Amino acid sequence: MSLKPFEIDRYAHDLILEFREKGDVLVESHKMRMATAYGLERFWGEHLRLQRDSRDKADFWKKTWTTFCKIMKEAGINVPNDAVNPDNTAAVKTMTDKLWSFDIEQRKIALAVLTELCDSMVWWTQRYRKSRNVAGGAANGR
Amino acid sequence: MYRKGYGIIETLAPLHVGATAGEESGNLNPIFRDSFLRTGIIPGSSLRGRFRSQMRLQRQIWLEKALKERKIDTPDSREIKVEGEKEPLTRLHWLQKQATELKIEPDLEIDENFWYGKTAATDASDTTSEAMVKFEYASLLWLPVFCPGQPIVWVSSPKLLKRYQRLAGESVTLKDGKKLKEISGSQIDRLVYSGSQTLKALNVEGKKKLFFNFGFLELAKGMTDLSAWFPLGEELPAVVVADDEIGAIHDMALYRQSRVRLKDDEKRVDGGGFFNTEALPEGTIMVFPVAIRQKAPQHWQPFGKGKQISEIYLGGLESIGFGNCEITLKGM
Repeated sequence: MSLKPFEIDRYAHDLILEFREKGDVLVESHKMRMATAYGLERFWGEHLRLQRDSRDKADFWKKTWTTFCKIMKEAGINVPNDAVNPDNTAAVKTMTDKLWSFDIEQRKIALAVLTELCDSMVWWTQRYRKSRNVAGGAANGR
Repeated sequence: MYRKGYGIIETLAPLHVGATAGEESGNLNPIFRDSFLRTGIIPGSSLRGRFRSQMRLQRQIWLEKALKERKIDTPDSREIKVEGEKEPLTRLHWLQKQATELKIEPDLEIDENFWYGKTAATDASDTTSEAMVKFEYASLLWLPVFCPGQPIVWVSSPKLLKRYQRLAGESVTLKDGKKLKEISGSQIDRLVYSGSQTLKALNVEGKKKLFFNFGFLELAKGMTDLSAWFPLGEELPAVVVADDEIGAIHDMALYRQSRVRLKDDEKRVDGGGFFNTEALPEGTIMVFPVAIRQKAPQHWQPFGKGKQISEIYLGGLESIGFGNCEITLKGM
């Protein structure tokens, strides 16, 4: 068995292209990259918060998580990914319990991959984002 | 004709030995690469140049001391005006001239022109001489790569191991008393996807896997004793990958940065003072062969009498903290 690339860049590219037409959603990729510093749980939880004020942004975060789970599954690591209604406290607890009890060694790897995925997404965001004032491309994502 | 030895380089800081015009363009500063594997190398001429300047300094110090003992006053400046000479002399030339007049000569042991060859005078290309010491390029042996959870795993490939075997095969004795050179090529090829004894791979679905942040691989051959392949003694957490994979892994593992040069009087980027640079990461282990002509009347001791190990700066970009290395000479 040879070295298998995760093909992170291709997944990142496809995600950015998919959400390109949804208003100002792409700026979220910079926030995703920042969130990775705080671990998997916070990253996953963010889509629940966003469901209250922006469906598109929530979808973007959730789709990124799902893509990330898919990448990890290819490597044999099963990252929890339940569909959760934020009003259903019991379901939220089940999912977060799964995340907290997720094997620590696998978690370290997963987090590194998620960080890499977000790095790639930031890169594609800077290329595909439709900027309001074109000059400079608003590379800081604001 | 030649006595053969080799040197091991361990980088103590990122190392950038880059090309000049051509390969390097604009603000992109790539390192020199091997033409087959696309992994980093240090050209033999760079090594020779570095050794030469080391010895030149030794000779200058010797001359200064010798003249001082004869109570000759040495001017402080780097360039010294001498009557009858059109151009001012460099400090070293001045010292040399004084020494020649007094018929004192430094030992051949610290004569860089003897060991590394005489450079041509500006207008006379036939004044060069053949060097006593020859260098080939230094190639990678082990490259440290970030692995989540590890945090570092050293990576090599059969071609890199085989080059090391060619250089050190005679002088390295294995645990079973055999020489390193007795390991067959096919045995080396079979090391692909084996980890060292000190590597702790993750068990996923019953398979031992090693994760990088851009991909993963299964350690299909499990763990093997790789200690023979570590010239500095310690068997590091390591894995051997295929020759057609090392290039991609190498590219991901390089130390890469965008840097700027600021203006002298303002905290702003100097116009055009923006450059991207790459370097071999700290902890890289490289190997280079040295050949010494049999007729050399003395021992080549570039680091001083009896010293086989020295810290030395290689490559460029010292000003941004690159280039500090430790060289260990073996088999001399």
